[in-house]
Amino acid sequence: MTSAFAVLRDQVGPAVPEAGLARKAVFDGVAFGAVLREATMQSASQEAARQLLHDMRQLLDVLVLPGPVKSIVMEEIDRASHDTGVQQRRRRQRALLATENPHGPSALDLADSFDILEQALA
Amino acid sequence: MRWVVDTSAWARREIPEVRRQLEDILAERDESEFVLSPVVLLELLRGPQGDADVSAERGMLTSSMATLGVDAATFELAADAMEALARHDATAHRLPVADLVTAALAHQHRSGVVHCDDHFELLANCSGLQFVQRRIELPADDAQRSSGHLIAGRQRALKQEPFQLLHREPVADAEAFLERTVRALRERGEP
Repeated sequence: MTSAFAVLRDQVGPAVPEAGLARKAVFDGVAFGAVLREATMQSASQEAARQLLHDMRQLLDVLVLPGPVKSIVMEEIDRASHDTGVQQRRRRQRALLATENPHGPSALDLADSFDILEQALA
Repeated sequence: MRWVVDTSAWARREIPEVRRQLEDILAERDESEFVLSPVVLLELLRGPQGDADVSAERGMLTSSMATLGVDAATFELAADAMEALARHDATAHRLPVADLVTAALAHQHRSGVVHCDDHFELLANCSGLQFVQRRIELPADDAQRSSGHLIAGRQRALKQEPFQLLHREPVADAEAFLERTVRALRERGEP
């Protein structure tokens, strides 16, 4: 959340007062996006994060809001969804790197054998 | 940055130096992640045996990495790359199809390629495809030679020459040679 405001402060410059920055953060969807991202990161599981984003999308459909505001919020939901997916995959990839890889040598051996075959036939 | 991880690197991830370099790539940026080329996925699925193991491996890989989409444009790019390589050198285009498609995908999806395979350096430099390639350095010291991977590597190197020679022989001669060899091995009591 703090970093989201810092980015916005850099964008608007020091002349805009704090209250103006906060208003802009709300109307531009920055505050919403930051809260949403934080909520999905803190979710207990991938399923919980997905459910949260799904619920937000459904809620947005029924809320009576001006079109431009809906678009901004939807973009933030999409961005949060993308970011959450990336972070979850990164966590899994790190975990995978720490596990045993019993099938790696066989896969490599077969890939090399096919390479040799292709080169021999070339 | 998204990195397509090639079989040559991912299948060696148990080697500590390889794992460390892969972890370093993930740690470079918050958005750094590995992604799968469908052909790499197929190559990796040739490792396990039996449907349960193949399904488990597939589930593990596809739930951890996004898979890049292949379409007709991917193969157009790969064919363009072959033409460019053939212009560079008469036989340079005779690369493994999996590497060509993976490089074309990396270009198409603006991703990098992480590998331990000379072909990707050639593809990045001479094929006209635009992608960043990162080579994973393999350990060369004696301590690592005792690992199963390097023993397998030596076995692969040993197999390479007879394999290539055999494929240059007429089919009947190659078959006769193989029959004699199999018979001799069986007589020695080996499977």
